[in-house]
Amino acid sequence: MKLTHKLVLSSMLFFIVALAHAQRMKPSLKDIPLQNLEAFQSPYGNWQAVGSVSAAYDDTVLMSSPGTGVLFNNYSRSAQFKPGHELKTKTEHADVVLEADIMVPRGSNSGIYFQSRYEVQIYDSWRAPTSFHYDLGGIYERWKDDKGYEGKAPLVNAAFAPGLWQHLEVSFQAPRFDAAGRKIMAARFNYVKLNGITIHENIFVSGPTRSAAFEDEKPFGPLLIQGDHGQVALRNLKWALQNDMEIKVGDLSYRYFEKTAKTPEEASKVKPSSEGKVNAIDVRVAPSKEEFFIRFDGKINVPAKDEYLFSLFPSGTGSLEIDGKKLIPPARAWLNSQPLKGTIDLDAGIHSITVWMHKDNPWEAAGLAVYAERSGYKAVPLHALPSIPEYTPTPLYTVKADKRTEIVRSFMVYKGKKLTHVLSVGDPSGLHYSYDLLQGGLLQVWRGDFLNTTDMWHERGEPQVASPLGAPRVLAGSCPVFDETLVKDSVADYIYRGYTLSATGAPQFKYTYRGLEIVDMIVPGDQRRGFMRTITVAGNGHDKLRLRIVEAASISLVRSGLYSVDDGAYFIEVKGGTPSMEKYQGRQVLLMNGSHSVTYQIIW
Amino acid sequence: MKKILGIITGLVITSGLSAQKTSVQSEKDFYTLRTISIPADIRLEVGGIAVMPDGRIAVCTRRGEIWIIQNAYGNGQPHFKRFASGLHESLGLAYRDGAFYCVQRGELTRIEDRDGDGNADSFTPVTLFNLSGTYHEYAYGPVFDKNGDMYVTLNLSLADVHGKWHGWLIKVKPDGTIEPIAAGMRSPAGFNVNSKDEVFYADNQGDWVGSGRVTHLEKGDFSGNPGGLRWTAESSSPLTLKEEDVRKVVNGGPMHEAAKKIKELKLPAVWFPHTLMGISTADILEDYTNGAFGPFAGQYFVADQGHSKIMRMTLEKVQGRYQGACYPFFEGFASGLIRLRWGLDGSIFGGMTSRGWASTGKEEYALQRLVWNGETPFEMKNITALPDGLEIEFTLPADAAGLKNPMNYSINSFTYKYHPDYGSPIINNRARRIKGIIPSADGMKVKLVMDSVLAGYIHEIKLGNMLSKEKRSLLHHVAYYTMNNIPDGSATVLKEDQKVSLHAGHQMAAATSGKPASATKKRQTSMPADWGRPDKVLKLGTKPGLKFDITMFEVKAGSKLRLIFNNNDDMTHNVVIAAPGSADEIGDLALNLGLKGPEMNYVPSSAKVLFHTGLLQPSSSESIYFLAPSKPGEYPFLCSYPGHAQVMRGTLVVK
Repeated sequence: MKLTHKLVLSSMLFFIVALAHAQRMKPSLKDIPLQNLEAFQSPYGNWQAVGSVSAAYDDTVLMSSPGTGVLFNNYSRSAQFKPGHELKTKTEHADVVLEADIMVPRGSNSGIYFQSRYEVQIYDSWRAPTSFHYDLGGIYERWKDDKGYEGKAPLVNAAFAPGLWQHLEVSFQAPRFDAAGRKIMAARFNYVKLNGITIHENIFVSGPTRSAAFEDEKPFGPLLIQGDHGQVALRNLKWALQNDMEIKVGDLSYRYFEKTAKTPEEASKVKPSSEGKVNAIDVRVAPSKEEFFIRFDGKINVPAKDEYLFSLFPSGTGSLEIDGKKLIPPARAWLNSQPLKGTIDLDAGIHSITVWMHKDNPWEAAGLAVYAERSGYKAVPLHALPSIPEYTPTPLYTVKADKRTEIVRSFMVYKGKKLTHVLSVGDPSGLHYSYDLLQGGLLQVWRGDFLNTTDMWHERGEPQVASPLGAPRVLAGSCPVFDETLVKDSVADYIYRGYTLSATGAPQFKYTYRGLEIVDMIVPGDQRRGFMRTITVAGNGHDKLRLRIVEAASISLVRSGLYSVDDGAYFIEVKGGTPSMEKYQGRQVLLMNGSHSVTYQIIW
Repeated sequence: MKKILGIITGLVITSGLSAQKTSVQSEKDFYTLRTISIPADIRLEVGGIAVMPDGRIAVCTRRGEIWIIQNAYGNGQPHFKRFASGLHESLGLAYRDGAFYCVQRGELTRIEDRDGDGNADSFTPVTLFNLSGTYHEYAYGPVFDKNGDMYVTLNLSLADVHGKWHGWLIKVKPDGTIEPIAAGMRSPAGFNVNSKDEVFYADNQGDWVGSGRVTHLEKGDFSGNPGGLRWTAESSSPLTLKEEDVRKVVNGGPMHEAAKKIKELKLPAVWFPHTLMGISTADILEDYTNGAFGPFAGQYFVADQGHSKIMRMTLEKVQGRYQGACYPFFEGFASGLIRLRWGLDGSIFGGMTSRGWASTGKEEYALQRLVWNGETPFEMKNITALPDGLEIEFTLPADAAGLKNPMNYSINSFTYKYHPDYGSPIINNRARRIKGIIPSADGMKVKLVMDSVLAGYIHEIKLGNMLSKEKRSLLHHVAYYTMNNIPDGSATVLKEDQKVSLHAGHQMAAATSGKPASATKKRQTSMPADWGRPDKVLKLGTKPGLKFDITMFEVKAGSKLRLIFNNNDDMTHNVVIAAPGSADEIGDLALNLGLKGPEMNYVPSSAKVLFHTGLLQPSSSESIYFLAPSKPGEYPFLCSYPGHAQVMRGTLVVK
């Protein structure tokens, strides 16, 4: 009895530590093909493969067009709560990482049941001020004695509007059972992210959700998508099965050279500072953590003939060889960056492995991690877990905008680039945006809490970047005027002249452009659907000016005045006037020509 | 009961007689530091202070807010009102004609309250600053000159990318035009436009900057750090010097030697020797209070962020260039003192923040006001250069006997290396021989005639236990005079009673000598041959904000230890393992090493120092080998570098 208890504890600890590593080791996901429904068990009920779906933000029905690539549940009232409309994968899964784009029409309801048992809810939760377990991304409640229990609401409401594609990422861990079939650890959601924002992290579920396909719990089960509650569409459905695999490491020795070698060639010519046998690759055998060369030579026993992926996290220059083949040639990397990778086909059985690292930077923390994985299986650490240094997260600094409009100026990373003159505006209505002052570009919008300023205000604030606390919708960010002086995305003569604040504290931005005065105002629109942006031009020659509403890879007309941008990323609703659509360098631009002003709403 | 009453009465009488004190006095006997209480929910990480003509003061903060404070001069609760927010790390603020002017990282902004409701509602860029996106590109100012133009300094990036005009002093016209004035700045957090419209700026020790210093900047000057010279190719640049030109000349010699070859290189008017005066010079104030702040009218006050104190500076022009001296003035501010502004009543407002750069004052931020009590301290008021010596002026007449006593004077000369490294050791440190002492008849001045005067050198002047005529003790005993140039004139002819014998002149100087740092028993840097291997290896690094990454080690009594200290910080540190309970004492002793500190690695000669490393430059490491004490106990380890010793500590637990 005591022994079992100990075993459970230690295996739980193992999972928690392993998880911290595993989250940086994102597995490569495989498509669940949606050319047809062959990946799923029949009957298919309302489900079909289509080419595209669309809806306006206030439509209760998704319109589909023929083709493949989109999984569409063409629900109608007659199917409500009827069996036979759920869709189950043929493959059964245990631990799994899953991603999908999902779209619902207004008011719709569905869900994804992991192992057909544990549900992540799909629901139209657009603009809901408070989140419950039944909201989009929620872990739906369990049911007993006519009462719900254990539901878990999302940390924040990260939902976008109906008719837009929303991105869901889930890492699920199946329950664990002992040899006698008794459950020893509950199923859990390692994380659930919606539209890029973490909404659950390390949440255990004690058993199947209400209306699960099974009441019991098992090591494996099919993924199930609910089809009898409402319309839903999915695309880019991908997963990585994370089954357990064992790779034994043995006959492992290390040789350590303190500042006497940088490469295997140099190391072969001098006596090691120390050497010995170890059970796992472990940087802790190095007595100095400053500058050293270390190599590990040993054997691994792989369970099956397959292609294996090796990932190496060195704190310096590292390399990995299998059976004498340089799988990962020497390269410089960091513990916190992406790993060095190499793949190799291996037969089942014993292979030789060599890992070496030259740590060249004394102030960098010493660490060394090596993982092996193969498709369908969880990555296996070949190192001792403490071979990676302990990391404590920085305390969070935030700015709230609960009572009044708050403005924060900062650096901000936008499309991978650090912008230096960015203003973020937090509105008490819960709608927030970031704005590039240099070009009048609307960079991103989000709902929920306002701003994360940790990287600006913790100690020296070295990154000096702020970031949204809610799910950001990244916008085109382009300058509102469109003319021939365009240099890449910037307009040379568009000059920032400051801003004034309204009585509520909302800024009105001022610019000049070739003698014209331009005012840019962004305020929450009707019913908090999005931001209403009005750009007004004063001065002679405004009639020749072309105001750029949006520029994107694709802009499609949903209905008069309403456009879906970048294939369902967000809506633009133009208020008054007739915009023109033009092509520019392979992109589409929506323009208002020769007008004193343009007003449009960005809806997401 | 009666006894207690008696004691109380006695106390009252004593304090009533304070004017007749002959005991040692402290700074606080002459100046009072008052704290302006900051409401608990406000994070007032001060970047700039603007004193408003109606008695309110405005403070801008690192978090981009401007707070207006009423009753900042009173003793009661102050009233805080947030006037503006949304500024990007605002580190300077000015108030002029009803508007605020403040720098943000990327902009100089005019901020107004147009509708008069007490909230800013208009933010107009006067000019924008180009930024590369690194955190070290700070902007400071604006400070107005007489024409209404605004001076701004831009901090140098520490990365490979650079925003335009960073590393420069620039002048911004009201129409937004930028006129670049001078290059060579590294971290110009404090600068001042004086009553003659001259600009002085303070820089911090770092790469190319051997120690803190104040430099007079004129158009076309280059003040020493070549990082900003990348912009001299711009058509508006007043100089054409390039970094290569500087590197060609630099050989690790003193800065004044390099200045002979680089005509643009401007020598500091006053060096503030690192750790001896401060560690991070910040704001500068000119005393135009006409005596409301004490006896130092016309002089300057210079803040130090790391040491949480104010230093004093005097200037004179010799051969057409400014030079002068710095003196200790007042220490004990609550946090990192970055900003100084005169209050309307001739008191000084001090604005503070430490965040990420630990300071002697332990608060994360603070706002305080320094007020003169009306009593004159006995101080070296001013030091000026003579063709063959120095003249010291006092604030009060000095006791004639002490003034004449050669035992009361010592002078050392030294300087720093001018090189790309971070900081510099003290170099060419030499005692100067005083061959004559000429007190003035009124006791207010004394001329010290030296056997030779060294142009380009910092002269440390130390006075002994001198008293004023009224038997008041000297408040501060040291000052540092930067002798860039020697005034013209003939050598002083000494009368017989003014001459100093060779022996006497050296007595005080000898007292400060120490022994050079090298491998000793306490600093064994290679493994003793008979060890085989250490029983335990202790690995110690640093964390930002003057911390060791590990604050406790447990070792066995008498075990063989190897301590690896990896200085992964961007400042210099050492590790001293000390006898139980002696950390404060070691810290104080290290501070008092004075000029000898650097060569002794700031490790004092004390039996209580058990083991220590050398003084490690950033990104370097050292191993020391020692036997753990045989007696179990808690042995403190600390960085004994001045300013670090109070906070950078840990414990070696011997079991």
